[in-house]
Amino acid sequence: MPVAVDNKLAASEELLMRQVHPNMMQEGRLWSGAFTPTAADNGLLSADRDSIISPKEAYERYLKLKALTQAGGSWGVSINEFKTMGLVCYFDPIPDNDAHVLVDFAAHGADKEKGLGKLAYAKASARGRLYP
Amino acid sequence: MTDQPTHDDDQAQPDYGTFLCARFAGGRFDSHAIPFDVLPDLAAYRSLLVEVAKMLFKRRHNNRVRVPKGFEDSFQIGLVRVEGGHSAVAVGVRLPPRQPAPQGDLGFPAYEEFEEAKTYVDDLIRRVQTTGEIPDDFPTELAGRFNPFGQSLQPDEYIELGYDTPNPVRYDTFIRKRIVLSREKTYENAVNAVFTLNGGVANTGTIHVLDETGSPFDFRPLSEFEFQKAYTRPTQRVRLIGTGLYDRSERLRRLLDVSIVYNDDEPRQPFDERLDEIALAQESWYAPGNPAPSQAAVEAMRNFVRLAVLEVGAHAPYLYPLPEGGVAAEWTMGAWEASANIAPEGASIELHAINTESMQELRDELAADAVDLTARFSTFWDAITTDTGNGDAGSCGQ
Repeated sequence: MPVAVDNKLAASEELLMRQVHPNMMQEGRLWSGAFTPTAADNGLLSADRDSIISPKEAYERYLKLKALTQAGGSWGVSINEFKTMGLVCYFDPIPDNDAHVLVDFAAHGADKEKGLGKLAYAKASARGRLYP
Repeated sequence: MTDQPTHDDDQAQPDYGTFLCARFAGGRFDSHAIPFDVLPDLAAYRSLLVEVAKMLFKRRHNNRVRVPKGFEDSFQIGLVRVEGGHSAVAVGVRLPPRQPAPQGDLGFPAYEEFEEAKTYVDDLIRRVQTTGEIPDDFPTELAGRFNPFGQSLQPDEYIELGYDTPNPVRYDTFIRKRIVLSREKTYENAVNAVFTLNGGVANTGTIHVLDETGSPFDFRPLSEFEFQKAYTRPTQRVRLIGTGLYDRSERLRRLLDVSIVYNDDEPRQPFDERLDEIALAQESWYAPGNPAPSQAAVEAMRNFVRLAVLEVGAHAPYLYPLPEGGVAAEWTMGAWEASANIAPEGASIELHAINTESMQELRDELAADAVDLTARFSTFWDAITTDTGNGDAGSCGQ
């Protein structure tokens, strides 16, 4: 069970990264929904730990996975920043991604997801693209 | 000398050897790359060589009125690579003609005038650089052809043509201006300045603006939407970016081709063009099985943006396809992050905003065809711009 106390990530400055499809970018501006779970995510946002995979490696893996030649890049929010929004992060290594984590939006209910996602987006946007 | 083109050997293959080796140096080129904004200069260089080659051909053939059919198409050059290390060096080669040679099996026509045109241009630039003089026989009609070549160069940037030769020649905005003004009263250069919108003429699509000194200028926006947007915002300060006609004293005489930047928070891309791009997204673009953006959502967003911008005075939004098949419009206004999402069926608009400092949240859901759509969106827009102001380009950074 990934969302469990044992898997909870301790507060730190470690960045949790999202990969962005090129459609989610316009003139360098990221879509705020890139940090919001979609309906298929059941309130759990997937991300990658930068202590395990670098922004460059994560980006290149995404390109390969999606068969793209370029994408919107690696963007990140720290565990501490998620914590200040009341969002808890859980380590969730999966067979093809041992850096995988889940950020738990579900605990706040679906009606809060959009606002929390925009707060996370604002942090990532202020930090700027990590790679390329 | 015959007016028949010379041809390659019996292999009839084009010469793919280096035709152009140009070093772009100074300013932006110190990052060892050529910005996309500069690429039109390379196309303008090719057009310039074509015109010079035509002149040389006509002179050589007793001032013929026309060049042979296929002459211009026979000269295609392409960028094969950009090398870093010495600012940015663009390497171009001759390409096969766009259309088959009229001589059929005679193969690729290699008019020697194009190579000579390159030398002519190099020599002209070198002479202007060293003596400040323009040759007496330099044709008036060629002067204007230098307008677009090098137009994107900043004052601290230059191009070294023939960088692969022992004697490269340096071309910059000063040389360009000198050549153009040798035969003409005005020259084209970049416009990037703040103006005040001042109404317009609806039936001609002309917008009036005033520069910082109050001098009036006119221009025609690129689309009816851009005209309406500018027309409905008299007195707003905007930045105009594009091309203008300047006199010898560097005074702007006419706006030629400019786009309007209302503020730094808006996308430069026209919203119609962006929505057309979004409409092209395919099923599964985001994840296996996710739907493509629906036509209904794209068209509903098109109507909504027109209303928001023209009737409410909102900034043009950034636009994105939604993984569920809808379309999103977004604005960042100071501490506010705002969105308007249109669901795939295109019938409803979900407004949402959060203030990232106060955590205040706003929500509303509107029918896309609601009679009070303008009023309700106006209330939403006012709420997120009350603190931040609906700033115009008067405060834009350079």
